[in-house]
Amino acid sequence: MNALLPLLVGWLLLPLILAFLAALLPALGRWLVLVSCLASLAIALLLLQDPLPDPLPIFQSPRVALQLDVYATGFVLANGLITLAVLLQSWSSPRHKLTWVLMMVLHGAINSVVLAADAISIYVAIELVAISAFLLVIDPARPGTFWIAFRYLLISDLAMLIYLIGVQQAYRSSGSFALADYGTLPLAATALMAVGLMSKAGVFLTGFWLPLTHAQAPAEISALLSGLVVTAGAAPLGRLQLVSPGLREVLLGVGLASAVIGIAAALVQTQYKRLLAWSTVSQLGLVLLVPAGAGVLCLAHGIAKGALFLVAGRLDSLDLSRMRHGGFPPASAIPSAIAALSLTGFPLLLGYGAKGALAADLELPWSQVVELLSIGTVAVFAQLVPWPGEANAAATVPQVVGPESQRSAGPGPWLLVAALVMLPLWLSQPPSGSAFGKSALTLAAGLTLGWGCRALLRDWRPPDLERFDDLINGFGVTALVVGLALWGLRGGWL
Amino acid sequence: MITILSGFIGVLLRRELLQKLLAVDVISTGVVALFVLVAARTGLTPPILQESPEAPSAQMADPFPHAVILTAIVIGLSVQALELVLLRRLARIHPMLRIDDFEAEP
Repeated sequence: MNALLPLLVGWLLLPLILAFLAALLPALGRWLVLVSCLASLAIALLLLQDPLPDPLPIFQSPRVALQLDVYATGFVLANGLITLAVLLQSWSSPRHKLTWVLMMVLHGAINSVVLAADAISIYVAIELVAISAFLLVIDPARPGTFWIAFRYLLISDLAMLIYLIGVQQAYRSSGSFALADYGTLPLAATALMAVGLMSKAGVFLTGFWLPLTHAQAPAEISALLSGLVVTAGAAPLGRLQLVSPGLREVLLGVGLASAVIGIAAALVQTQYKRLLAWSTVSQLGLVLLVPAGAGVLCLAHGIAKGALFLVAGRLDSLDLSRMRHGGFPPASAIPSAIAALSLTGFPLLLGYGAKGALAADLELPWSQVVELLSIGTVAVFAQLVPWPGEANAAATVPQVVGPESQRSAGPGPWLLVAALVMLPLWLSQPPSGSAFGKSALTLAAGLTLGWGCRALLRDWRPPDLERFDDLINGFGVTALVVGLALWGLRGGWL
Repeated sequence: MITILSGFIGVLLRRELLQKLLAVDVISTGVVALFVLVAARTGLTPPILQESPEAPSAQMADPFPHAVILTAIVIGLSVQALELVLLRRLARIHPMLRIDDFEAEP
């Protein structure tokens, strides 16, 4: 076990060292990213075989340790796979010179976030994730990305400052920064840390920066953002939940609220990437519900959402009404369909095992609510499917036909979709017989709901809650809600 | 705490991006002060070992939060620097840098 420590520290540092190399030797860039991804996949497989439940200490006092339990495995696997897919997708056309460097820094930082077991390492790693994500979002060719990148980093900085205030309170009461010592914390500490992390994870009101940012960023980067960067917030939040029982119940409510809000907002979108981004808000809400299963859920969501975004990057038009009427060529539609089905929990795909883990760990009635939410997710993706009577409306929409419509989706999405199909076999998640029936019902209900929403809410737009001021207010409101809920739980009147 | 609160109000109320950015910097300063406060529980002397044996090590400030907050200061500085670079680019689009102009676009 002690021999493992240098290996792991070396693996954590590897992407950062290779990033440095890539900056010096740009020609090697993409190969170094490949090396980083493969190293992470290897470590993930190692962890799958032989997880270490006890934290591996780096220093004894103060306690700094690496936690390599089963919890971390899903995240590391997701990190390796998604980064690899984005790498393959942008192999021949990186957006700017530093893409490879930044991808490796992001990769290494996310690995660190997932494995860290103390509050300050998490802070540093999350800031590193934020900075590299910020730099990746900026697309010099599209000035529109400047504003959302600015907004993203500003909100991220604020969120982490809130988190730091919470950490300071925690240190004041417990004298340590290690998460394992955070079982009984003053209310303010837990609430503030949670709110900061929730914002990075993109849930509830604090996460409303997410839809615009993920929608406007270049598609490959959106894949990274929605698939991986949100896990940088979700993973530490899960660890915090595991040590702090009161927080877990509060986040149950917050997660469900976020899931519902995300689905509702996604149903009324007209642009494909915004729909996907709101779906991320919703799915991340679900991730919060069961901390023990967060790794698998994030893995399933990250792979599926990454595939969807990568396909979106190759489409001609992102307008949903155009996509419904011919703008979605089969080469892109098939991987998208498989990914979407996985998100809804279709058997034989990774999402099924993930949702199953979620439902198994929740008591009734919450597990029923989650299954109902799957209907909502299907409804969201039903926005892409024209219903049989819509052919008349198609005449008014100009057809999108061009040479680029026949382009394939690219290697990235196919890799991810293959993972979606093969990982369940590897992880041995056999579907039960009734699963297909239940899934068919869910699909039918969801399609009806989605078509119904489209028909009924044809021109209605929800109030715009994503303005900057609303985001800041969202922080305050969430902090109040979380604080009051925690107080109620401790006082016994909740 | 007052620093932090005024920083938050600044971020909310100010309409120009540069002022919002500086308000976040104010919050950051407040957080740094909070950490120094918690480090001062064990003493007020800077935690540097002196050569003379009668150094009052029992009254030294706790060095652990100091290390943490140094990291936070450096990170905060680099984030502010990056944001300022971006502000220059943004100023070419809307020279007044008012947030309402940026949010008016869909």
